[in-house]
This record gives sequence, C-alpha cells and structure tokens, in this order.
Amino acid sequence: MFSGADIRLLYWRELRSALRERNIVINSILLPIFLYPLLLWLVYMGISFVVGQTESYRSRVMLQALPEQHKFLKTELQGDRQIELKTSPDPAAEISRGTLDLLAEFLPPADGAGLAGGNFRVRLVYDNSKDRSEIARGRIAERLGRYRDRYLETEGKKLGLSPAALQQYWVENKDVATSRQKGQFILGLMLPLFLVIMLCVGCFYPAIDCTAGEREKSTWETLMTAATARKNIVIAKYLYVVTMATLAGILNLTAMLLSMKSVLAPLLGGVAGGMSFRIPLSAVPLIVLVTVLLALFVSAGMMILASFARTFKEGQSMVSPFYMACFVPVIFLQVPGLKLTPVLALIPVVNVAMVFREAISGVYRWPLIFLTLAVETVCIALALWIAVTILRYEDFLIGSYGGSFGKFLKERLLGKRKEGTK
Amino acid sequence: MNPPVLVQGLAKTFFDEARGEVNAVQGIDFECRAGEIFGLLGANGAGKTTTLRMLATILAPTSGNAFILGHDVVTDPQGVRRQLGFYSASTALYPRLTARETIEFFARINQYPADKVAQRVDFLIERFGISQYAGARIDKLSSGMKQKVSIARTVAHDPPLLIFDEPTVGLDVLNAIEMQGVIKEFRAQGKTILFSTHIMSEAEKLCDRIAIIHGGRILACDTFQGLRESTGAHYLEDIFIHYVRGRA
Amino acid sequence: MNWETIGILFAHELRMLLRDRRTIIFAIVIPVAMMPLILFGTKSMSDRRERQLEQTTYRYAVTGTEADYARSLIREGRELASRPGSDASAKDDRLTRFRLDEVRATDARLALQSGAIHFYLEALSAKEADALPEDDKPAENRGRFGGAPPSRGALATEQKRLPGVALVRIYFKSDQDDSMAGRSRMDELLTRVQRAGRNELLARQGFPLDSGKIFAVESRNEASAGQVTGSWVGRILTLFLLMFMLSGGAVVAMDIIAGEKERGSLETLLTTAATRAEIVTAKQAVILLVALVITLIQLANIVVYVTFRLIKLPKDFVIDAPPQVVLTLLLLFIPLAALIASVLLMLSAYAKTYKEAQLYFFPVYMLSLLPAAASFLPGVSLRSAIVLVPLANVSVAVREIMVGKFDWPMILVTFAVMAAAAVWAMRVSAGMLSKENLVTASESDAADFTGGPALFPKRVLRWYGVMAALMFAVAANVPQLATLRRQLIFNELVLFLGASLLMVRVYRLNLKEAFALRPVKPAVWLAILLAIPSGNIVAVGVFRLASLVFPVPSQMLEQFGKDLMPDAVPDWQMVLFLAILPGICEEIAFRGTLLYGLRKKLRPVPLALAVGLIFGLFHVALFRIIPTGFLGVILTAVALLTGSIFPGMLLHAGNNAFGIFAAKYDFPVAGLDWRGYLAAAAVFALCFYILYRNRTPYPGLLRKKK
Repeated sequence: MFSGADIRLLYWRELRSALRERNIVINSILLPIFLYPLLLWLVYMGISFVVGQTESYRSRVMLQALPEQHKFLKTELQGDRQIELKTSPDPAAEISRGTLDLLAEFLPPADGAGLAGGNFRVRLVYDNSKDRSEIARGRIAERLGRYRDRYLETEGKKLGLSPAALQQYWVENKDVATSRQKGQFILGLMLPLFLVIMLCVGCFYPAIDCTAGEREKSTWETLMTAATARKNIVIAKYLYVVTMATLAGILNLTAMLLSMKSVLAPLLGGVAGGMSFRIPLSAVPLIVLVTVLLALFVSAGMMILASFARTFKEGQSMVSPFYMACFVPVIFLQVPGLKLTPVLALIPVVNVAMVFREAISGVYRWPLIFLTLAVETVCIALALWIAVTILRYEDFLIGSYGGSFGKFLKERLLGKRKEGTK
Repeated sequence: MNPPVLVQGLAKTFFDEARGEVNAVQGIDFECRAGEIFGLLGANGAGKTTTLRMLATILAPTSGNAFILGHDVVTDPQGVRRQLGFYSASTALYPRLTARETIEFFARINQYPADKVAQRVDFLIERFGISQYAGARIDKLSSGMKQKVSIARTVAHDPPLLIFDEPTVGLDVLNAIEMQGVIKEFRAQGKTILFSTHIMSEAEKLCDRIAIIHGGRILACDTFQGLRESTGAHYLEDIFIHYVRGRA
Repeated sequence: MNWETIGILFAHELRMLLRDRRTIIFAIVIPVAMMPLILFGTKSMSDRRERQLEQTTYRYAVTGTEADYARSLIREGRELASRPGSDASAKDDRLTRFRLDEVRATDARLALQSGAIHFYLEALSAKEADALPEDDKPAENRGRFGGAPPSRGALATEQKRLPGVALVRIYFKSDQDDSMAGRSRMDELLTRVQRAGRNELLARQGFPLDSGKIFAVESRNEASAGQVTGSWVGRILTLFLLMFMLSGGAVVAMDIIAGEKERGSLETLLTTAATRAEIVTAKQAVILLVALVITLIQLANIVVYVTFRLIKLPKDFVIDAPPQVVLTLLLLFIPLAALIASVLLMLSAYAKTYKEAQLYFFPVYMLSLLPAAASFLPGVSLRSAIVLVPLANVSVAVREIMVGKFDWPMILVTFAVMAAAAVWAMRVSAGMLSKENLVTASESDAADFTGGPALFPKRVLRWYGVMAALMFAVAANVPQLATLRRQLIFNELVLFLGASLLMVRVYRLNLKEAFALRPVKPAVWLAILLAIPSGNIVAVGVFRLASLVFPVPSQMLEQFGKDLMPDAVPDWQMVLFLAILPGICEEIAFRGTLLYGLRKKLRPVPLALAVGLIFGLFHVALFRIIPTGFLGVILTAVALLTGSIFPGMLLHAGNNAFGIFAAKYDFPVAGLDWRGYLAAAAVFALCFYILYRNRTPYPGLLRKKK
C-alpha cells in the first residue's frame, strides 16, 4: 500500500542522514560550488608564474658576421631589455651546454638576391630541446621581421610606392556572433558533459550508501521491521537518490555558469571579456526536465547495481562500469558542429546531452526532443521494472544473495529458476 | 480469545548454493500468552532467528501460519509490524541521526499518533536515562548508550508485543543485567515478550515458559518447573541436553 | 626487522587481494578497456568532423561598393591556389581543396544569421574605409596577453590598415565551426593574393626582389631528433607515471588499513608478534607492487595506442634511450614509487574508514600532480632550490636526463631527498598504528561529544578553509562585488570579522580570550611605533628577494597598483579601507580566533609560521603570498610575545598606511640598496628586543615537555 506520509518520512530521514555524511556533502554539494573558483586560482597562479618567468629571461644571443650596412640592427638589439648580446669562441658547443641560447649567422644572400642596400640571409642556430633557446629564436625572428618591415617601407618610399600602395587592401575579420551566441557555443561544448559527469558523481555515493551502505551498517534489517510497506521504503530511497543527483547536477551547472568567465579569462585572453555565458530562459524548463529524467535513469541504474553489494566497497566496484558507461559516450560529443539526429536520439544519456546542447543555443528540434523524452521514459520504466522484479526475491531483499547483477540476470530472470525462494 | 502469538506448522526452507536445500524451520507450533515472557532456547543454527524473523515479517514462511494479535504474517505484514517491536543484535541504528531523532523516526514510521510523538519521545528519553546525549549523533555514542537508544526505538510506538532476538549478545555483565531488568519491566507493563537466547541462565531467570528448539523443531514447551518434572533434571542445561541428545 | 615476518605478512596481503576479483577487474580491466575506447572515439569524431569541413562547399555572399574588386581577388586567389607553390605547405594544400559557392543575398547579414550562408564579404573603398567611425575602424592585431602583436606576415604593413587603403571585411559567426572554417580559408586566400600583389608591385617598380627573399630567415636546430623527443617525453613522463601509480596504488591502499579498521581485523593483526614497522613495510610492499604492475600495464597500453595510431605522434619522434638513461631513470623512479606507496599508506592509516580514505585521496592526488608539473616550467634547472622539493626534483631531473644532461651530484641529491621522504612517510604510518584513536574506528573524542570550546581547536582549520573558498567563490561569482573596494569591505567585515564572531558564538568561546583583548606594557607601544616604518621596509626587501624566485609579470603588478589605489580616491578613504579596516578585522580573524584555535596544537615557533602562512595564503596572488606571509609571521610573533591583539592591530594598520603614503608620495622604499634594507632590519630587530624585554606571553601555549 503506498503511503505518501510514510514515503515523506522515510525520504526526509534519508536526506537528513545524507546531509550529515561528509563524503556526500563534499562530493555532491561542496565540490561543484568550490571547485571552479579553486581551479581559477590555480590556473591564474600557474599562468602568471610562467608569464613572469618568461618575461624576465634575457635571451643570450650571439651575432656572427653581421654586415656593416646593417649595424643599426645590432644597436637596436643591444638596447632591447630581453636580449643580451654575447660572443663565444665555440657557439655551437655553448648552445648544446645551455650557456648560449642562439647564434644568428649572417650569410650572403642566395644567388640573384642581391640588394643595393645589402641583403643577407640569417641562419638562426638554436636547440629545440631547450625552452630558452626556443624562446630566443622566436624573439630574434620577430625583431628581424620588424627590421625587414622598416627596410621595405623605406625602400618602397624611394621607389615612389607609399606604404598604402604596398598594402593594397586590408583584410579584417568581423565576428557577428553576439556575445551571447559566443558564450552559448562554449557552454554547448562544455556543459552537457559536466552535467552528466556531475550528476553521476552526485548520484554515486547516495545510491551506494542507501543500499549497500545500509547492509554494511546493519540498519537494513531495522528498516525492514518498520510498519510500512517495502515499496514505500524503496520509493523513498529512490526519490532521495534522484534528489541528490539532480541537486548535484543543477548546483554544478549554476556554479559553472557563474564562474565560467573568470575561469576562462586567463586562457582566452581578452576574448572571454566579450562573451556572455547565459542560458536562454526559454530553455530552462526543457533543461530542468531532461536533467530530472537523466537523474531518474542514472539513479535507478546505480541503485539496482549497488543493491547487490554487501559493502560500500563492493558497491563501488559494481556501480563503476555503469557510471563510466554513462559519461564516456558523452565525451565523444565534444566536437563542434554536431547535431541531434534520430540515431543519437535513441541512445540514452547521449540524447539528453544533445538536447541540452541544442537548447543552450536556442535550437529546438521538437520531434527529436519528444523522441528523446520517450526513450528516456522507456529506459526509466525498464529500470524500475527490473527493480520491482528483483525485490520479489526474498534472498535479495534480506541481503543474503551473494552474487552480482549479471549473475542474478542469468539465474533468475533468464535462467531456470524463474521464482525466488519462498 | 486468541493468544497474541499463534504459530501453526510454520516452516522455512532456504536454498544454499553450497549445501542445497536447507530446512531451517520444520513445521513448528506454539503460542504465547498475553503478558508472558516466552523463551525460545536453542543452540546456534537451531532455527530461533529464522522463526523470529518470520514472525517479524522479515522472511516469508515456506508453509504454515502465524498470527500476531490476529494479523496474519503472510497476508497482513504491515498490520503485524504495527503491533510489534523487534530487537536484534543485527538491527543497528543510523549513525548520523541523533538519539532523539532516531526514537522519533521509529515512533512515526510505526504509526504512533502524530500528536503524541513528542511526549512519547521525551518519556522514553527520560525513562532510559539518555537525556544527556539525546542530541548527540549515534556514531559518537558508546555501545552501552547505543543499546539504550536501541531499546527505546524498539518500544517507541508502544507495541503490545516485543520480540528480542538474543538481546544480550556482546554485552558486558552490567549491561546484560540491565537489559534483563528492562525486559521484566516490559512484562510488568502487560506486554507480551517473545525472547530467544542460547544462555541458559537468562532463560531460567526471565522466561515464564520455554520452548526448546533444535534442528528447526520444537522439542519441548513448558514452564521451567514443568520441564524439570518431565525430565527429572534440575538445571536447564541438563534439561536441554536431555531433549537434544534424546532426539539425536 | 624480521624479513621472514614481513614475507609472511606480504604473502597474506597479496593473497587477500588476489581473492578480491572485483577490485582487480575494477583496477585493471576497466581503465585498460576505457582508454582506447575514449581515444578511438574522440579521434574518430574529430577526424569525421575535419573531413566534413574539408568536403563542405562554403556558401558566401559579396557586398559593398567594391564587390567586383573583391570577386576579382577571390578569382585570383583560386588561380594562385591551383598553381602549386614553391614550397608545398599544408596551407596551400588546404586552399586547393577550398570549395566556394557565391550566393546572391539581398540581406547578407540576415542570411548569415539564419545559416543560409557561411560568411560574407564587404568590400569598401579606401575613402569609405577612412570615413568609418573610430569605434568601427579595424583594430591592430594584439597578442593574447596584450603583448606585442605577432607577426602576421613579413611586413609591418600587415599589422594595421593604413589610411587610403581599401578594406575587405569577412563577416562570420564564431559560434558556428563551419563559418569559422570558411572564414579562415578565405582569409588565407586573400592574404596570399595580397602578398603576391605586393611582390608584383615591387617588381614593376624595379625592386629586384620578392619580399620573401629579403633578410630571409632560416632556422637550424642543433638538437638531435632524440633530444627533441626526449625534451617532449621528459616533460610528461613523470606526470603520467605519477598519475598511473597514484590511481593504481589507491585501489589497494584505501582498503589496506582503513578498510581493515572498519572490519575490525586490524586490531587482530596488531595483537600478533609482528611489529608496527613490519606490518607497515609489508603493506607498503603490496601497494608498491600493485602500483608498479598497473603502471606497466598502462604503459603497455600506450604502446598499443601508438602502434594502432590512436595517439598521433609528432614528426621525427625518436626515443633515444641508451642503457645509461634507462638506469638513471630507474634510479629516480624507484624512490618515487616508494614515496607514492608511503603517502597512500599514510592516507589509509590516517583515515578511520574506507570512505574517509577515499575522500582524502582526491586532494592528495591533485596536490601531488602540481609539483610533478615542474618540468613544464621554462628554464628551470635541477641545479637550483628545486632539487630539494620532492616530486618536482624528479620531474626536472627526468627532463634533463632525457635530453642527455646528467648532473650527477644533483641526481644523487634528488635520489636522497626522495628516499628520505619515503622513509619519513613510512615512519609516520607506523607511528599512526600506535595511536589509539586511529586504530579503533569506533572511538570518539570527548570533544566531539561535548562540543563547545573543547571542539574549537579540531574545527578551526575547517572554518578557515570554508572562508577561503567563500572568498574565491564570492569574488568570482557576484558581479556586485566586482570592484576591489567592495570586495575588501566584504572580505573584512563579513568574512573575517563576521566569521570570527560566529565562531565565538557557535563554540561558546570567551570573547576576551579568543580575541586576546588584553592590555600591554607601555614600552610595547614604543616598539610598535618604531616597527611600523622599519617593518614595512623589511617587507619590501622580502618582496624583492621573493621576486627573484617568483618574478611578477609587470602587467600584473601595474594592474594591482591601479586597482588598489585609484587616483581619485581621497587619502582618508584609502587609510580607512586599506589600513584601519584590515588592521582590525584581519587581526581579529588571524591573531584572534585562528591563533586561539591553534595555540595548543603547535609550539610557538611553528605556530607563528603556520598562522603567518595561512594569513599569506588569504592574499591570493602568488607574488603577495610571500611578503604578506612574512608580515603575518611577524604579527603573530608580536601577539605571542605580548599576549594581546592590540599591538598587532596598530602594527598592521600602521604598516599598511605607511605603504600607502610611500607609494603615493614616492618614498624610495622599493629602490633602496642592500644597506638600506639592512639598516631597517636592524631597527626592526631592536623593536623585537624591546618587545621581548617587556613580554607578557600568550597564555595556554603548547610547551616542550621537560
């Protein structure tokens, strides 16, 4: 007999216990909220340290056989804060040893490449296995490029060619995507995967804790003697796990959305400043609906598998393959330009991730969305049917069954023993 | 009028991978009278726990009937559980609830009138002397404190029938004596108590009537004095051996 | 140590492990199966998308008064692309396959937004381009961190549009990857045409050369393919090995002590004739073995991925690993593996349950990976302070060894440091097995039970952890607190002061004791007044020393200065927000409740260092942590010597105020030479001498047992 009052009482008990369990609170609630600011700090520290380090290096460079007509280049480099000119009797050896970063060998130009003002070829001798040498090569190549620029402009002017004439036309790229669209593009790539992973993480501990964990703590039998139908107990536990999963998923999404700009800014430079990371309000109901459906499916799956375990550790081993099967396919979706297709709509979890991704960009392919909802509903119904079937078996109910889900499937559901022990 | 506990031909068969079919309980009959302490005395593996679990509706009988205060354990398990408080060494407490929350939860879930729950909880806390740590979490309590909370939650809904499955296992002498005192007190309150043990002295001290169970069958059921007269033995231990060896 | 006993224990642990089939499957089979699946899946999807983009016919439109000119450029570009370049590059290759289809659109912008076209061009004449409003004019190409613009091509004329030059705009949508791909290809095509056009112009005017041949730059890499590969592999090798060993070892480590405590079998083991050290050695050996086996399996996995080309290797990938390199690496990886096993064992020994051990594993995992990333830092050498940092030293050493650099003294120091760290961790684990409250999981502390002031020392660090996390979370997520001043007010009043008062209330602390609100001797004030300027100068000196090791990006420093002291703010506000408020609130938080909470856990010197360090960490930016940490240690020392919070408040506020005025009125504090800092240090030392002579020690400190 279903009793709403009993289910409510059992549900609140589960929730209260869970919110006092350190592992659950940390993994399902605190981690999503605080992880991203921590990441932000670590990334920021790392980048600022590396930039600071690199900025402070003076590249040790040797110029060999610089033509007299271009001695101005040497003067320029001597005044450069990031370059230190050196001489060496054996530059190649010093480069290998790491005491010299680069040798710039000035060579005669190739045949037919002579210039009135004196042309040259430059061979930059460096060691690719050393960071400082690589940095020095980049710096000198850039300075030489600028030197060339100025030379050509001067020569061009002498020939009556203004810099404007040389330029001919200027190509500019204009991004007409709005800041919201840009943000939604990034969100669409990242959020679905995060949602699935964090929902699964949020569900993992509670699902195992309220099944295998209860057996381990010997509170399972205590609960079995309570004056309420077994169904009510199972429903209450299920609702509790769904709540934790949904909470983890939604909290994570919200935390990610709020700190997205700050987390990405050091990585994207000034570009992130022009992005708006917001989900369209019209997409929110659909997103909440698919999140809940996903939570219902994942919770059912994890609880079924964990119910076969007698200890928390065993429960983890049993549930982990399911957990990975949920999020691994979603990793494959991290390709821009992917669209929800009928085939993808038939794959549980993947279909939800794709609906979510498209909803973020305000794209609603309603037939495929309905197909997704239908597929998810069928999967949930299947999982619940399996759960109800399993609960008919007494040895499973009292925790004396010692096998896994696979074994149970083989023996009881598909094998010769159709009914449990009565 | 029917007795509070009526068991007729109750049997339980398990299927074990290693041993095959195991007849844990083989058609037992007994009844408990109102207000008495009825003891099930037997060695480990005799079938005591299986019998009590069937009565508590944790296990379903393979055959036979059992009625708890008129409710059939098979057809009306919820009705049975409402009338019953079950205490066992394997019925642990929730570590993250406080003592008060635990008692309150079990009162409510066992359908104790909602408007009287708070009063009942306060009464039990006072009665069992757990006021000092009523607000502490179960996982912080010592085993003696946990035992008290466990008893309190067993009677949280004031059931007329109590089942104690080896309640003094693992307890020190003082706690065991305290447990025995509590059981007597429940009897004095008019509750019917079904009590299993393998400790002879306990059965001697507490039980109004004793059923000796071995190999899933009840070998004898009478008062202690009655058993003495039937066997000619003085100590319960000798009486037990008489029946068990005699059967063998 | 009885090796036979250790052998028996080892065999026993191994047998139990091998009978736990589920754990083995979980630890080995799943990662081995998953990795190729993920790699293969992502590679297939990515390749598939690339092929789609290659095969796409890009629809575009051309608008503007110079549309015909733009079309002629596109025609020319396609002709050029069909002619093979003198050095066939990937770019040329891409342009030959670039399929285009011009679409006539009445409203090109709308067509782009609706997805009817991938991009469109707008060609403006020079006059039109010059007449564009300022904010619509093309910007310079800026670098990622606002540095010098990267050279787009050979000419400075390629850095920005010059007046009198026609403009071709390519409009695209960055939220569509096909639009971005189309734009990128069109940009390349037009740039190619531009360069060819320039060369032709120059040639026509008698310039003898192709601009590409002027001051031509070529590079010659002296490093062998083996060295380049070694540098690349050396960077990642330690990190990957660490990841494999940690996750592999954790599978068995979490259960090996913590799980046993839960099951009650640890007590049984402790009652046997085996010593704690023997038990710990045997358990560690099992963890080590499992970690090594799983690492080898993962490495074999990688070889398989490479063979089946699931991982794309760079060109000229040559692993040059003569026996000397292999043996030296082994010399370093053995203590690394031992340290990992020791740390995991320590975790398991510390935790009361299996679940608790797992909870500690994640932060330990992340923290271990951080020093291992030292090999990614440019220019870091093993012959530096890093040789003393476990994990970081191995990471840097491996990278050097892989490029053929063998700095033997430093390699041996690395080995010694790692071995010492592993032995220390093992000893700690053995010691933990003797601690009663860790051995029996069911034991609980009286403080947990009674709560109140007795519980505060156990909880104080958690409070500060939550405060730090809140500080980050709120700063990152609440736009209303975006300005530095508002952030300051929030941090000072809500976080520091508010949390301190909350702690007093929750744990029923005595306010005067918790906040150290005690009077001091008059001479103390004199010392503090002298310490204000001298302390500030010394702190600046510490900052300058620290920036030798942790150089600060100049941009960051400038920005920080501007944020902290904007020009238009009056002096009294600056003193209030940057001196008085922190002087009161931060002292209450750190020298008040934090010091009170930790006073019985650490002896005075480590206590001062710990409180100072935590104070420093709250200042977030790497370059501020050291000087503020130093200040924190000083302030804590003052509190410990005087037993009161008040001198610290004055010192803190005074120090900050001095810094404000020094910056504003250009006191030459940052530019002093070493003699100036030495003089300041001498005065500062004198202040401490005065404090010492007039000390009233902080009550209730942990003292050394006599």
